[in-house]
Amino acid sequence: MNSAEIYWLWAGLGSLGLATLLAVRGVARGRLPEKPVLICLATAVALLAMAIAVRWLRLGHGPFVNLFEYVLSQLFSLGFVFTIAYWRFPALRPSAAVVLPLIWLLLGFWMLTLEPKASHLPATFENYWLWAHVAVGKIFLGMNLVAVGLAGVIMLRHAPVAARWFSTMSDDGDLDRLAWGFMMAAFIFHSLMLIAGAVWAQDAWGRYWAWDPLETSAFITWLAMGLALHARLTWRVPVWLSCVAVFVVFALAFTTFFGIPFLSETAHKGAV
Amino acid sequence: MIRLLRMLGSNKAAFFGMVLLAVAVLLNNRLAVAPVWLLVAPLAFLGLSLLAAMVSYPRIHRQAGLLVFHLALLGLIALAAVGRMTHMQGHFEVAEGQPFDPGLLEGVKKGPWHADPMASVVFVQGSVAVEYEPGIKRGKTFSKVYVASESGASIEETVGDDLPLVLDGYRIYSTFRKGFAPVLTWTPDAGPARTGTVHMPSYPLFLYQQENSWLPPGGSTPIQLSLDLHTAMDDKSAWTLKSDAAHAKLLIALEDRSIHLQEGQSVDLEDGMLRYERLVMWKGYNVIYDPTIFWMFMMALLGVAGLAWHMWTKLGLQHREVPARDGRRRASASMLETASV
Repeated sequence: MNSAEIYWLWAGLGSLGLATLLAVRGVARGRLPEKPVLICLATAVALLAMAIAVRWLRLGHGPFVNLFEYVLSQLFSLGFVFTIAYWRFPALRPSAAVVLPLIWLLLGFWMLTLEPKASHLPATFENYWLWAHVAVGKIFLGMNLVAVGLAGVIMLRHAPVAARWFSTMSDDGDLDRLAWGFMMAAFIFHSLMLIAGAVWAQDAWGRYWAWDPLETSAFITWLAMGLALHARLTWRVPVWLSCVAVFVVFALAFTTFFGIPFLSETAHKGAV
Repeated sequence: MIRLLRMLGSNKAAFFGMVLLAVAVLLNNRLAVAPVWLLVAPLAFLGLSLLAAMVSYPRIHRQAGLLVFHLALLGLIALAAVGRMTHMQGHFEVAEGQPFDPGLLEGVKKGPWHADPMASVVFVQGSVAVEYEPGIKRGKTFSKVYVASESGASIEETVGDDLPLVLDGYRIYSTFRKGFAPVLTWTPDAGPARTGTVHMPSYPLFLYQQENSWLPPGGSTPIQLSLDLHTAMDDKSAWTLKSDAAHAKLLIALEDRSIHLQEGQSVDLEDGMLRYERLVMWKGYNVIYDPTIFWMFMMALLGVAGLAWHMWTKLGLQHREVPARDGRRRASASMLETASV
């Protein structure tokens, strides 16, 4: 590992790690150091952005091709969206103790195992609709992650210890509604992701939708969100079930982003 | 009747329809050849459910954003149906210097409302160039074509990797398929000479299999042709695949002998004379026709705008103070105050 972006990446992960430690320790002690966590988060996001920028300049293309680039850019985008949410919605700040360890479990440790191999950008990827598709997709997953953090807090509060940790947050009903506010926003960005992806696919492969494995998985995720939203309108969905729905949508979305492209050879042809 | 409409338009019916659609989508992905009705049936049910909701639940009319979103979904279903009826898709190969002919089309699939695929399409294939990066990684494709302007003059256009040629609503896309084709003139013992091309397998995908069999017009025995091909291909550095930077000897395998021809040379065979004129490239294209694409895009954007509008008005995005458990007041979003999403 001797590529220049690695130093920025390590620095970014270090700052993210510090934010995680501060958040977990602070919540466990009943006093979250909100500003230091925010500063560490913002620093981590800036450093990860530098890692992406340095790599972009080195290779001449964005982080769209190999696993190293996927995970790096996702770390940045999830961090970015959560930092904005943390900054603008003080009510959810203690959920950092759930979200940040989750980011580490899902992506952070994985990132440490990946080599920054150079990648070749397929000609069909040189399309602004791809940028739009990727950008709104990342915002969608970020919004979903914020909701997961809130749902995680609600579920964790069933344990007496964790109930104390998160005692300063609003009651479960309020947090559930806030989580589903973010899910609603995520639904909009997911819809935009499907639209931008369809335009890109039309340009790149001459078809806007072909039910390939990735498209199918993305559509199932969209449908799952629609089902959950309709269920909340139709029945009195208990809060715990509502939280499970948030987790399920996130699991589907994460599988779409990080499972299908690497499991199926026929997922978006040329994408991997 | 009203009761039936209310049942069909209820949220429960919509929920049921969406579950059906999810199952259908998963089955569609699993089955090698899925029947058309598999996706059409749940989509039709959801469409009917939405229509019934608009008739029997006046409440939905009071939520303009949500109404726009659902109407857009209905519009998308209708446009997809029209698109299936009018669409056409296929693929073809055409060699440099060759005019397009609808007879070149292969693998044509079309809706019942689409007649005479590409009958009105006229263009001539120009030069093809494909850039490669070190490691034989395909870069950009530049395929020139000549189309007639309204005044009848020839206009040069370039088809790129994500830049289709659009003629009479047909969208013609470059594909990874391209290769070499010797231009041959066949002069039979009796009758006029004919000139055409024999397309060799895609290059450089089938680098070592540059061979094809060819039956001369009026002939009885196929002739095995292969190319001793030299291109600018370089594993270590960037290069461009184009006919100007390539040359080849044509190898003709007969039962009792094999013949090597350079460009411009000819040979007498059993039923006539074969002349190897020159080497050109052929280019593979996919073509689709779907007049609904633009409207589907606009409808989808309208739907998302409706959804965003609904979220803005129902959930509110401005900050306000909400109580926390410990009695302190903490800033949060008015999303917290929404009874349901």
